[in-house]
Amino acid sequence: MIPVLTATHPPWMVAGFAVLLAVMVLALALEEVLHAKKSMITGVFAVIALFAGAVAGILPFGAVQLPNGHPIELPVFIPAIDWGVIIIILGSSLFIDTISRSGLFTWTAIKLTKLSGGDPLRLLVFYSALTIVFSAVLNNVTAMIIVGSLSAVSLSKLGKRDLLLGFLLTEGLLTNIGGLLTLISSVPNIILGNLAGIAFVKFFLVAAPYAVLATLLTVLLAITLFGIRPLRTDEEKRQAAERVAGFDENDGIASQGFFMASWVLLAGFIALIAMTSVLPYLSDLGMGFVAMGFAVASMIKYKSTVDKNYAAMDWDLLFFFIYLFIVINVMEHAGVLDGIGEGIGMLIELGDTVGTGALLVAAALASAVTDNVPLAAVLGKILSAREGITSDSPLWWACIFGANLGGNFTPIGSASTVVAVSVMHKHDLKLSFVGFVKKALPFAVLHVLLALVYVLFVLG
Amino acid sequence: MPTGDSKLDAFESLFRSAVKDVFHLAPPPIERVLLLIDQPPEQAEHLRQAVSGFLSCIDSADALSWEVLSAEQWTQGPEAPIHRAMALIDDRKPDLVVTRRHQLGRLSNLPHTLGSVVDTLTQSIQTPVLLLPPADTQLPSSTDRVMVLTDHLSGDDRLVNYGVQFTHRRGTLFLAHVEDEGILEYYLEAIGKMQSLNSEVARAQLPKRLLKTPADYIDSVTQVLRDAQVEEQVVPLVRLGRGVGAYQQLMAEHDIDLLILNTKDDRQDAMDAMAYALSVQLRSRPLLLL
Repeated sequence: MIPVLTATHPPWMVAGFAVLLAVMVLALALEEVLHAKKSMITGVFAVIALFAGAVAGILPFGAVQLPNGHPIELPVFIPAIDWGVIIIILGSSLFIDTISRSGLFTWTAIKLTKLSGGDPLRLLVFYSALTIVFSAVLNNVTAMIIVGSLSAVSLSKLGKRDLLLGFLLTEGLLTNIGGLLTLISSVPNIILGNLAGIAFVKFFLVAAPYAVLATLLTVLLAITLFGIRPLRTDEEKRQAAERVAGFDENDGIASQGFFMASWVLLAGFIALIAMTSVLPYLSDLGMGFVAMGFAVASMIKYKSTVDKNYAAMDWDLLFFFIYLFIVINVMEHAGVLDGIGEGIGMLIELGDTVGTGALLVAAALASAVTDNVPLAAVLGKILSAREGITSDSPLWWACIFGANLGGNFTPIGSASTVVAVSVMHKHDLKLSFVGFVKKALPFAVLHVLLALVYVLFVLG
Repeated sequence: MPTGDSKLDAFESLFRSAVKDVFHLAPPPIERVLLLIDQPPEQAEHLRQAVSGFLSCIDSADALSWEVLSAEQWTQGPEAPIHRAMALIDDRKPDLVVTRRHQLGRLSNLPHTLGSVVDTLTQSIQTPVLLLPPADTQLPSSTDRVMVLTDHLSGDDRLVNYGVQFTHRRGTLFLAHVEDEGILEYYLEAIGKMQSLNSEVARAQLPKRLLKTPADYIDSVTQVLRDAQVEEQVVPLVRLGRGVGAYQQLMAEHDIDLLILNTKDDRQDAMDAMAYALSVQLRSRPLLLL
């Protein structure tokens, strides 16, 4: 994305664009009510914002200069898009979707189910760990889909459907903690981490202690609040073990060769993504190259039907990001981000402790009621434009923790909690918006308080 | 990664597919056998000896307690013979009733019937009925080749356990599942008329899916028997077919000594339609009707 040099615009113009941004954020929060996909909402606002920006004369039309000095003519909205982020999401999504066809993730999930012996307490612990790992390696939505659907099937098989709501809620909340683990675990991480210049390994080392502690406390709280008890009698244990024995982890493996290759590819993907910033050539090509490279390698297996792999992509999500970056870019040119930046600046100026804490809480509350991606994009832009904020600054971590954890307050706070609620509805478990907030509140407050302590006193 | 219901449904399908019916080995105890026959005691005893040899497969064959109800015990007196027979069966509570079709000679001129006695027995009692072939047909010497035949094998442990119990040690147990091709075609035609469903995918995958479930169950049976060191050989026969013809073809292909069928239907008192059709058509082989 090309850096923007903003000029001073009349206040009415800035206010007009700010209203446009606010309405888009509101529309995203009301996505379910509007029955509109995210990409449709941001697409409409991108078109309006671009046209309004052109009429207002704030868009920098003209040639763009390449690193070698050559000018190139591009539509004004093309450099507005953060293609680095888009290509990481595209490549890793394609790669993960392709290797998931090998049965690798379902194999792991079923193995753990069998290992639990059908004991609900052990099942919760194992599924929680699985949620964290899958959220970190895949993304929180796919993690929720896999673990949520497995929970529904296995608890039904075990005759424990009464525990399903507690399981799904816990898993939904844990996806946002697992999403904190690595630089590529969630889109806010990718956006904020890239803008801050945080390396993959550094990100993991900082986030991991918090994620481990938060997971342990979440599971303990879930056990207490949802009354999840271990099996007591030998007969109960025998029956449960017999029921889970009916799971066949190899059922989804169509090709043993591709299954093994997928393990190797996944290990290679994680290793190379982690080392991208320190490896020669790869550090120049970036994580997007690594992700796309692994996507192409994995799709060789499907070389004659690769169109199906492309068709399986979540194009709504990708176009959502593309349009969102365009809207944010127009807002930047219109000076709206400067205005928000001033407000955030006031928070930051409250001091190292209070300011950082206030930023984390504000980010969490904002993320609770709307999508955390535009929030991360706006916050990232503002922080990167401020002088004196290095990649080590706790302010970045306040934004990262706030943007990820805020999603745990409401059912619309993150895509994975939306999926969790979808699984509940699919299985006739009634949970209203308020009902979700009531059940999730103790967890969300715990997560944010823990993050405050961690960011202020450990990282600060 | 799609967040939609389709992806969710796809993963649920994967996990549901991974949940398989596991066979539990529990051969039914056969200790008391009741032979119901409309013949005099000497002939009834002769038949008992033949059936006893045929049933040498049963674990407790040597210790079987036999009760022979010959003609005079149930066909004479003021009460209707079938009521008398039912009362005696109810009183003796056998684990197996052995009889022939067309008892009392009724309807024997109508070969495509079972006769009123067998008809009533199969619909009124829960005890399995071993239906012997007509008197002019040689009873096999033992049960070396037994076939369990159904259109819904997966999870039917009871049916398979009877198969295991009635197959001679080192004999062959054929586990046959016939998926009705006519019904499948009917559904595929309906799917072909629905825009939201891919008919090509359905045509390619539905038959495979339908046959995979019983095939997986038979794998489980094989594994469990192997683990329990049961020496019987299990042969899976899972296929698409149409009606009684498909069942008859299976029988003809494998020259079996005993056919085991489910006859009870939870939804009705009458004998299951396919079981009835098979029972009246497969007259030359012993049938175990559960």
